[in-house]
Amino acid sequence: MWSGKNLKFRILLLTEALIILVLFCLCLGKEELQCIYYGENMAESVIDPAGTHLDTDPVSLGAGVYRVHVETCMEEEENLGIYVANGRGYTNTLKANAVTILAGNDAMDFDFFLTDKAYEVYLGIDYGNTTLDHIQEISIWKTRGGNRIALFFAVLFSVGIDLVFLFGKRCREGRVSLPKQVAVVSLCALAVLQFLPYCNDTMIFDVDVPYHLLRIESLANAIRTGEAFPYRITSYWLDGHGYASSLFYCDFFLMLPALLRVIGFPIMTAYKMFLFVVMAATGVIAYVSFRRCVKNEYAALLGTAVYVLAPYRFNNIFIRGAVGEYLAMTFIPLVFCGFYLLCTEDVNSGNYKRCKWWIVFGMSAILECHLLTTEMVALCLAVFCVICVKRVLRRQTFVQLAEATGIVLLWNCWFYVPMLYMMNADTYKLQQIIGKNLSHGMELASSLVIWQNGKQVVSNDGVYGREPYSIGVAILLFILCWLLIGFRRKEIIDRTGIVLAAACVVTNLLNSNYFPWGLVQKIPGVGMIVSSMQFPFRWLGISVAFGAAFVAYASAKIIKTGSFNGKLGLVALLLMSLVGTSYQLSQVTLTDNETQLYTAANMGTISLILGEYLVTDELDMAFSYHDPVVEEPLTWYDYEKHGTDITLTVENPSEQTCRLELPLQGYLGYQAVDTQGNLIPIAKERGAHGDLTLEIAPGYAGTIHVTYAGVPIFRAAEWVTVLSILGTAGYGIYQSKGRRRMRKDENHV
Amino acid sequence: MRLSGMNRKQFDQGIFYIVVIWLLASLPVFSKGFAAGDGWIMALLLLLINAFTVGTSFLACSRICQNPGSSAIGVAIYVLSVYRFDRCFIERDVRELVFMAVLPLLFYALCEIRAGKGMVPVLLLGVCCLGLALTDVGCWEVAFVTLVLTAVIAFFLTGNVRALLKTGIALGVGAVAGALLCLLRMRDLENISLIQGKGLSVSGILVEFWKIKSKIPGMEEEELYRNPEGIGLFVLAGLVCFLVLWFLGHIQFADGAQKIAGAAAITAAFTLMLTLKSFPWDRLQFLNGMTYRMVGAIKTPAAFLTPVLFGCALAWCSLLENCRKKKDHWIYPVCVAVAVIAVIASGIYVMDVNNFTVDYYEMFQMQSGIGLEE
Repeated sequence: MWSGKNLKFRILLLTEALIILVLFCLCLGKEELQCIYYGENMAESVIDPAGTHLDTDPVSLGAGVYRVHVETCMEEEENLGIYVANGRGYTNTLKANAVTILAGNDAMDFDFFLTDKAYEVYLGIDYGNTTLDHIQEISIWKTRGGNRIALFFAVLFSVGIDLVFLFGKRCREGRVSLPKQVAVVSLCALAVLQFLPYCNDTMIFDVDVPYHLLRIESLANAIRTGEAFPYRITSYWLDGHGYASSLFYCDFFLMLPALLRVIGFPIMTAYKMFLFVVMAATGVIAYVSFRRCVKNEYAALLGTAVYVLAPYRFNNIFIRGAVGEYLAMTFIPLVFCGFYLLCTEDVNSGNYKRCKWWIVFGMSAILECHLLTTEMVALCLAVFCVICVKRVLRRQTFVQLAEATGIVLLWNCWFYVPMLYMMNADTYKLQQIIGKNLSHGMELASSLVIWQNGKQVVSNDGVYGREPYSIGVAILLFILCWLLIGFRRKEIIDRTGIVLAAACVVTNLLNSNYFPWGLVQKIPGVGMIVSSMQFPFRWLGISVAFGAAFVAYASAKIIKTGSFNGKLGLVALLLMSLVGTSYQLSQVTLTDNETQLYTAANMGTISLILGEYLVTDELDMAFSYHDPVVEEPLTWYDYEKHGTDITLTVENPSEQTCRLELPLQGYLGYQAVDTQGNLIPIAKERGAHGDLTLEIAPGYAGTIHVTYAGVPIFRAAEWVTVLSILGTAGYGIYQSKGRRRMRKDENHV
Repeated sequence: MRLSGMNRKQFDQGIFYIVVIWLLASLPVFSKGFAAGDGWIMALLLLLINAFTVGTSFLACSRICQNPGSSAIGVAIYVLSVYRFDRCFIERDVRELVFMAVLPLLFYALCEIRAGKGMVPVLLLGVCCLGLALTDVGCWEVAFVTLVLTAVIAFFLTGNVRALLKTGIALGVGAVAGALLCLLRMRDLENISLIQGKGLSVSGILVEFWKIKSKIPGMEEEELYRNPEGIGLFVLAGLVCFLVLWFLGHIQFADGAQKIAGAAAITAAFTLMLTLKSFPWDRLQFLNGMTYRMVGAIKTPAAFLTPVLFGCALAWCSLLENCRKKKDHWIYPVCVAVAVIAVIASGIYVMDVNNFTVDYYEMFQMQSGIGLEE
């Protein structure tokens, strides 16, 4: 028992457990104050009165995650610049960015990271736009983030090493088939290959990336400060005004990078780690889905490869930073696989009822990632229902599809019901955007470009210099070859293959500027939904999924025939895909991949892209940290703001109702209650840039607490989701127990 | 020599491949601008060094795999690599080029020692080490680290104590000579700098299609035009495939000498880490005055790319040889195709880009009248 390789493995496990235990103990404990600087002292030590810059006394700090706490009392229009620098120490030890502190943000924290000991860490303070007297204190704290990061990596590496050890052992013992070995290794390789441009200390900070990083940071901030869950409006945005991004754009999957931020990772690292998980998950999900459909490991792998290596996907990931879209692409194969199985599996088999779960999980995940992709996938499913009407109208199939739809609707109630309610109840910038025409239709030739650009070089329409809007020329070429060969060899061509190929080509054509989107938009009822897509090129995500499914399906057929030329063709397809990918990734790596973002506070809080979820009619971005604004003679004091919660005491000595504007974006659902439990009315007419405004009655004096309570329908929707998930889980457990009991009885008989 | 063990047909094929690769590697030498003025001396030197590098690397690769085609692919991966191209035609670093030419001989000697071929390979190893120490201390250090690692790993793989001792003697002689030269040459600390900041990123190392640093005045530092310091994705893919297949039990070595390929692959994986920004070179360099000089002599961690590249080339050779033996399998043509792509994508591509860049510069110069020094 305690001999040979088992003993080695147990020693390994024991060592890992000990290391993890020690690191866990190190995580316990409080933050430690390293140094503190007072504004008064700094002002006294200034030699040149005309100076605008000051460096603090250097301190020696060990490796770890640090928090700088700055307290100021600046007046309007003032601001303060602070950066962390290292005078002496090892190269590239300090990971930090400069931060600008705005007036009104009286207590601010930002973090910096040391990967090794630094001997002379100091703060550079640019006070040209304020005075040193307005700085109250600056303190540096050592957090437990560094220990938590070490623990996280220890757990990750331990699990990784154990898995590799076990996998290698099982392979050498012949307990894992060769195709499975190839699949595991290839999926790992694909994940690493996709991540290539980000295997460095930089990132591309362009297009939508700042917005999504702010989404992550706002979630992390909400977790840290204990804002009400599920998050609808997070307070980090818009200089503390809060933004309803979580309400309209589901943040479910972004909780992962947000948690990494809470552990202590820099924002860039958290995002990259999340990205790697998504890349790996996309490969695994695509492979599992395709293998379930085509029942051939190599064909499924080929389909997976062309899917994850599609130029448009890399465009979404690295250039557009379309987090929602590339996340949704992770789950599209699940939905199509589910539909395929429902249409092709034997309806009388015991496993038939399980097929709907592919659709349930797939659609739920897509809905929680990206609404526009949900629309497109649902539309595709509807079209497929029409194409396969005979099969869909079979009683069992129809029931399963209806069940799947019902479960998806119930499970995701918590998100879409509040979203739809709020969308109908108020007006947002989003409605103005939806009304616009679809733009950015691509030249058809861009689908056939092998050597794709890293980023957009010129903004004019055309092929040269554009971002890579292509599903990959390898897929289109493969469809063409398959059709040509299929005319001669009928055994490789069938209806499913034709449908998939046609779906791929048609959705690809929808992306082109030849498709009359303008006319489609004029169709009553359809126009609104179509307009919400913004860009026709979003159809490429669907097209890639169809293309990959086709490649997997057709490859399985070709492999089945055993033709050497056919196999050689598949290898050529893979190589073409790989070469195109390596070129594109090289371009991405060498072009504009230079931002080093560690300190999240460096981003500010107002990267909204188009500000879709702002309640203001016009894009008024003049946000600032400010105190409540009141009409004379209303007065306020004892003002406290924590997240979206505000407490203040007001006095209205006048005989007329006075308006009190609070630094919160005035979404529906805020509630103002005083200490006696009386509701304070919220004005319909909002304040400057949509600020929440209270109407204070004549002669009123009291303490008011304002908080975001949402609408009762939100709670109802949340309960529906919880109960439906519990219900389906309970029903599943009950059924599996029943099946086990039946099997036992059969064995007994 | 192993080459003489080949049959006539294989020998002819080998010579043909060597000549083709030599011509490809030396292509930029034949451009009109290269040999202008006194450049013909450098052109001749580069032609000679290229010929020698192709020859020595073919010798070492053919020790790992008997098939001349597979050996030639290994040679092409090494000789036509972007990093070597950079050293050869952009930086024109003759010392490192000499190191690149000698390194395969060192590996060949290691193979022969492991095969028990008497004292000749020991002498070869010692002489080469001495030669390197005389040429450049930094290169000698890189070679020394590589050889020690490879020899120790090979010992763990084969358990051949005698081979380890022989290697140790040869390396010991080289080490003493190198250390003496180190002390003599590096008294002056002014020319020695910290190398940590010159480390590479994984993304950069794996870039396949490189751009070339611009020769246009004012654009040299543009990020878009960086010097190609990397090995490329496909070359590394071969190394990883080899290591994974070996780990899973799919790679078999014919004899102890061929296990050098395995040892070289592990060494390559390790030395690849030495090239990274994240490797704590600062820690090593700041230990004391001696380490400050020793590490500083390497000049840049990218110097370790040479053993990485040759380790990858040997891994590719071994991988191809193993795949070739599985005759029913179609994996061999796939591997060959990937290897050829690796060469075309990185080496040949960068050569073409360089030609375009040169042409563009010349055109620019003609139009504007700006000289090189401007």
